[in-house]
Amino acid sequence: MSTLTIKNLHVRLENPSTTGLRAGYPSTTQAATGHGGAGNPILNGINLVVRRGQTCVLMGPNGSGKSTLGNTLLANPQYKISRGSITFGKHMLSKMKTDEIARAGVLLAFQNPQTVSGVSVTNLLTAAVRNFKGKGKDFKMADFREEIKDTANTLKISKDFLSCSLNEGFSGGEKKKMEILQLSLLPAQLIVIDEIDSGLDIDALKLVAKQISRLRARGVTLLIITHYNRILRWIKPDRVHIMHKGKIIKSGTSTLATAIEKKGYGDYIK
Amino acid sequence: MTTIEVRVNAGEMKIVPILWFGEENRSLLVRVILDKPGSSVKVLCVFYAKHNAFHLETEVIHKAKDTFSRTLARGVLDGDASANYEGLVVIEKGAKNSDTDLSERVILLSPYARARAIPRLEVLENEVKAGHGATVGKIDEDQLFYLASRGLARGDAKKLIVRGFLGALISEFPAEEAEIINAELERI
Repeated sequence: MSTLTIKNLHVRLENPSTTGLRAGYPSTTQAATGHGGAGNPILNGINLVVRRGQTCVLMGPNGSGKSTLGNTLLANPQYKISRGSITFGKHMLSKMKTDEIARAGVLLAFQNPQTVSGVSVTNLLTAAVRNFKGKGKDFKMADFREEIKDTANTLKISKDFLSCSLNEGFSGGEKKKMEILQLSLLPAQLIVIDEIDSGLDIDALKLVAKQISRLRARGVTLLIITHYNRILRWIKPDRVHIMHKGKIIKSGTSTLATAIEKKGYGDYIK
Repeated sequence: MTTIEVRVNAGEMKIVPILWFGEENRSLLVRVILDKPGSSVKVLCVFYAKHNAFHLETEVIHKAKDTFSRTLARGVLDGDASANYEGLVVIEKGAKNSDTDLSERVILLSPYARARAIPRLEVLENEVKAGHGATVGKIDEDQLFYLASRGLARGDAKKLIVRGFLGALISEFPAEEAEIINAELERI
């Protein structure tokens, strides 16, 4: 288990059509795109340390850059790091590809997970787990398949969902459960959870929160992105950070989250 | 061009499987005539190739009432392979309560692979159900990112998506063809 260290991180939206030009030409195309377009900065100097085993919450109003940070940790090609670094233990995440980052134990629960036609969660997990090192010599695929079923059972995911196309026709809640299912079964050290509490009814939220607590008890480091306090009723974080306009503007303990629930972000956002 | 003509008995459901895995150039016309009431057909096509060219025309002619047809084609092209697919469904006057759908979907894995998919629907009767659609595109980058975020290298992620995309049709095929497709998908 390792510590996540983000230093002076600046991130812009990558524009696929200008990628080829970027290396040698002045960025006239970017300048022309205007506010909110490609090339505009989204993260403006994030400094954040999440110690191993800690549970941190990243809060902030819509558009503050929380999801961008989550996606940048996993090297989403839509975002470009223009300055700063991300390290996780000995791994320099900011120089790695997405699949390498995942295999280093850093995983992301997506806010809007993809639908993959013809690929079931079982197909995906069995293909994925082969890529992870250190799963032990006594690893048996048959046992892993059983483990998938057991974890699905805990999350009250019906058996049919394990063999049909992943997320195809699933409700918002089912998709979120599927995310937690996958991350529970891969050898994660740090899990970034992006807005898991939106689109979940209260019963599903409880199940998901319980599962997150189990991951925490296993020693997994957690970075929970949320814009409201619902999930924090079940998970008490070690640290709370408030993001606004691409920066962390306030950090504190779980009492900070409680204060925000009562008063909103108004006191911190000027 | 090889031409295959298929006729279906009243009340019968026939499956017409078409497979191409790029062994050589192929040119094929499949014509299905539904002139018996209640006759049904599924024209199913799966192709995957790295080289060579595939020219496919399918025609389903609804002549009698209560006829049913599905034309479903899915293909993946890599390397310098190319495919040209024209799918036609005609619902003639008098073929009341006919039900048809025509779908053509192609994924291109390489910048040198080429595909043309042209769906055509000619409906001359009013009381029918008819749908059609065609897509030709690259593999979805968001899907690749999603799978990479689970630890799959780009090549493995592509394989999984391609197998899923083509495999989604397998259950529609008769056992013999399903086995051939499975064996080919294993080799991807």
